[in-house]
Amino acid sequence: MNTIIEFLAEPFQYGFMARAFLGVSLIAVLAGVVGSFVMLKGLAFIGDAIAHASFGGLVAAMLLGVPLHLGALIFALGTAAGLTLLGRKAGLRADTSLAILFTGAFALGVLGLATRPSFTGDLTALLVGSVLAIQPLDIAWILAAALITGAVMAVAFRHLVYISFDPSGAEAAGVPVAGLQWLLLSLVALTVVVSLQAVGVVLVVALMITPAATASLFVRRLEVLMALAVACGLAATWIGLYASFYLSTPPGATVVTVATLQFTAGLILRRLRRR
Amino acid sequence: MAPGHPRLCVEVQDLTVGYEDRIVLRDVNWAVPCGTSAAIIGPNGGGKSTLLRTLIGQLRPIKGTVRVLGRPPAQARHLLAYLPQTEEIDWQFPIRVIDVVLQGVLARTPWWRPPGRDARTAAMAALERVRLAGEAERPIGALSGGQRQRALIARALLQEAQLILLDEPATGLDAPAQHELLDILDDLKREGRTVIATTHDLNCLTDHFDTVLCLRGRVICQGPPEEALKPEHLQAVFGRHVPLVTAEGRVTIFEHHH
Repeated sequence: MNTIIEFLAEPFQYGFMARAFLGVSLIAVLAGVVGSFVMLKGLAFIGDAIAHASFGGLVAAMLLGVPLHLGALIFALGTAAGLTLLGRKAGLRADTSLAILFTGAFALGVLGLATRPSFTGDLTALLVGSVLAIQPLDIAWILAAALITGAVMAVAFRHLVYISFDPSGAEAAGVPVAGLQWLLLSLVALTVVVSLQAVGVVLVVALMITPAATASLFVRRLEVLMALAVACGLAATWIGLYASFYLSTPPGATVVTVATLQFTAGLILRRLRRR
Repeated sequence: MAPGHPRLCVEVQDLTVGYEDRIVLRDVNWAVPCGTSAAIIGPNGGGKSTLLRTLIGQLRPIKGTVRVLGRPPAQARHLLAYLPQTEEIDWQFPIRVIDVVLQGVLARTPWWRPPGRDARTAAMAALERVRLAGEAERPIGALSGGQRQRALIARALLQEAQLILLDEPATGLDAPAQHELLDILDDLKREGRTVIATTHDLNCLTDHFDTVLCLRGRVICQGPPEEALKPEHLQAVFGRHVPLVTAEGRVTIFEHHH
């Protein structure tokens, strides 16, 4: 018994591990809620693209000496707004507007980076993320994003469901569809930006999509799907971080691997249940 | 309002409308009295959906005026319900039938307030009306095509919509489901609501619709079905001969492809 407790408590003797557990757990909750919409509406590519677009903002923030999160957030929200506008006004296909916007913003980042070669190391860390380097300030950003998302969901959850299910019917009935679409994309942008430092561009997409996809194998009601997605995300986070601590594997990648294994197990389980 | 001059629920004058790169409809003049039903027929691309989307304020007229329930479309939204073509809806989205119906109160309740007991009672009553009370807790995606349409009509009832616009509601339904749907549309009209539907099914027109509007980039014919559905009109609308017989005021079409 004691050995189990010791086994579980050991990582928390290190401040960086405690911050990693707290930070990534918060991200798992946030990503589970936002990711459920992202997964259901096929917006996974948008999450990825917004993450890449925010890279331009990171570089701009570095060059200007302003907080990195702020630069990334402005670029990410700008991409979200640009997507909503281009889709409605220019009549472009969503993936076309997306590709133009995010590659443009990403290219700006690369150009900016070329002017200051010494930044390369820092930015690589942001692209890949470094779970063990999460600072209290990062956790504050994640917590703020989670609170904002919670507030939005408390007020507009049923509206977001309406526009996801039947956008034309909702618009005809007077629901502000464009504003809500922008709001949803902004939540995606916010989630991506506050998670960048911890898990990086690629892994944040995995934390949004994979747990929600696992949950969708088993439930047919959005509220339950979100709760299960959060639970899967938290389980993947904790199992992954313990595994990473004891096996000395890269923490972010370990968490995502566990999430992927969860999904695989879910697929097998569902098939067995159907027999 | 003096008798003989029914109030108009839809009034379209000299309407020209389309998209950035092309005009779809020209010079449309059309009126639908309140409490009647109107069918819009015509070939694909003839402008049926475009006209509906103008009525709900999604498209702005290039020329001419549109009045819905006596006001500009954007100001009539709380009084109208629009059922888009079935493929525009994400039926796999994980919500229950009752949640779909409750969307009917969203636009007129404050954002932060969840639907109360009154709304739930009204939603169940609306489901009862469209004979779906037993399906309230099921996922919307588990329903058949006809049941899905009826669930959306229940949502329109909860919204207390005076004007109900349906874009090809009967497409993809088998004959019994079509009849069930048309019977419900008849009920809506009997309550004084106005029903406008686009359709490819020409045989339902005489029994279920007061007027027909035939569109092919412009108005080819309009009026009561037995007057509008003349062979020469149908030839002009569909660009080919449509065999039909008229007996006892009822028009029957023998074959129809589009």
